[in-house]
Amino acid sequence: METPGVTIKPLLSQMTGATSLSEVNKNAMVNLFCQSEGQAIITSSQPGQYSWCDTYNGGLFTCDVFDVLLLVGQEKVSPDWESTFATMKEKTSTRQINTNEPPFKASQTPYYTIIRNNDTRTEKDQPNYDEDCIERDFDIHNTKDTDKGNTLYLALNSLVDENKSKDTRLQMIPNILQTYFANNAKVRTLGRNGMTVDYENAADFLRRIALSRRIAKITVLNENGNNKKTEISVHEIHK
Amino acid sequence: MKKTFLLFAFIFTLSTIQSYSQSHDVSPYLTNEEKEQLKDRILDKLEDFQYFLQTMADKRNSEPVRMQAMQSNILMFIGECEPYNIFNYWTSSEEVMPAVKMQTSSANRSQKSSQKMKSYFSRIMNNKTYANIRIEQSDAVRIGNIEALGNGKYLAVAYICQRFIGYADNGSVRYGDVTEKKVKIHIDHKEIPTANGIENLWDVKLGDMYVISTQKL
Repeated sequence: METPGVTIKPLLSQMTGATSLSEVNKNAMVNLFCQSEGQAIITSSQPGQYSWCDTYNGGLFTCDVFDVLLLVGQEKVSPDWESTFATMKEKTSTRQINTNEPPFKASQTPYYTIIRNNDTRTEKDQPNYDEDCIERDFDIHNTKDTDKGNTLYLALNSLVDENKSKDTRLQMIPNILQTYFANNAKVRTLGRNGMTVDYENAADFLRRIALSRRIAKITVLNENGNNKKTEISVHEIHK
Repeated sequence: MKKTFLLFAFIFTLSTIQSYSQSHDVSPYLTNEEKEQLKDRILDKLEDFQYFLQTMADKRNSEPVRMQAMQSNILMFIGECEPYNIFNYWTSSEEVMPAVKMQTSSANRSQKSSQKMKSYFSRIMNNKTYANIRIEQSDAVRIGNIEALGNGKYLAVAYICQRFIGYADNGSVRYGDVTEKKVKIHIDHKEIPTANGIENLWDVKLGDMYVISTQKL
């Protein structure tokens, strides 16, 4: 029987004491957040991709982050950042994302970096986007073996390096063409959502970026061909 | 009454024909998202055009740098500054258009003159009137709506503002103006072969440039 003027309160208001998170092992969360030292960085998508959301849940990647953290608490995912990020990446990148406009489907792939305090660095699926690499002066005739995997990226970014004169940058083009590109190689420039916005001969592309003043960095998204590339896809990052 | 009925019948027939043809237009089209992205690309191209023009004009740059800047600029224009084909929507056929033109003006005279873009570039490169020239972007680029022409082709209009300064041998300013120009932008759908199969390209090319206004500095 209700007392006039006093409404029924929800069950929550009748609870006393601390909130109980049943089925969640708090020690797993303590391990993850309090007993790890270092830096763990993850982004929702890679350059050239959108981070998608839906009307009801909001950001898809954000939902996946919370879902996976719950899985860690439920001891379904190991309470370490490597496993946590790998699961988040797997969950987001395998989603079927339907869009309202052609081509009516999309994808996004998170990438992450974990730097532990003992300096052991783990990088997973990091696009060619290493800030340190840009600081190093690129010498095409004196490439170290350790740079082999990244030299095309370095070469392209040396062409947009404002510390070098325009003459120097243009003089580097024949060597870059000869070292990295097959005859008649093509370069696709992709916009933010992966749309192709330019398709040029490699020589024309290299000359354009060497003389442009608006480009801060070039990210290589895809390479086809072995030592000499027949086609690469790039994304321009502006100043 | 009979006349009114016939008029309505005629309008109805026309609208039916139009909607029928629209529903059967299978040519590729741009989504709003793609249009916004292409506007960014138009902006990039116009900024590059103005900076390459500045590089070409500045005699302090080496000859190879000036020549390469001109080459990059030529490639940004439809037909690479040579006569080009364009689709005429009304006749549904390709037409040969003359090479892209640049209209120029002076604050000292009222007439505007037009010349082929390559001739304009040559004049900038081989200028004998001034000891040096400085051409730079003096205001933000504005871009109008991207309008469909049909058959996978679109047209837009952009507005740029250039500051032109001609220097005398002693470094003093002999002439200076600020000119607002209208630029035609051609967008053409192409299919390109890639390692993943055929992909769509919306190729953005600059077109004719017209003077809107010129003010003395």
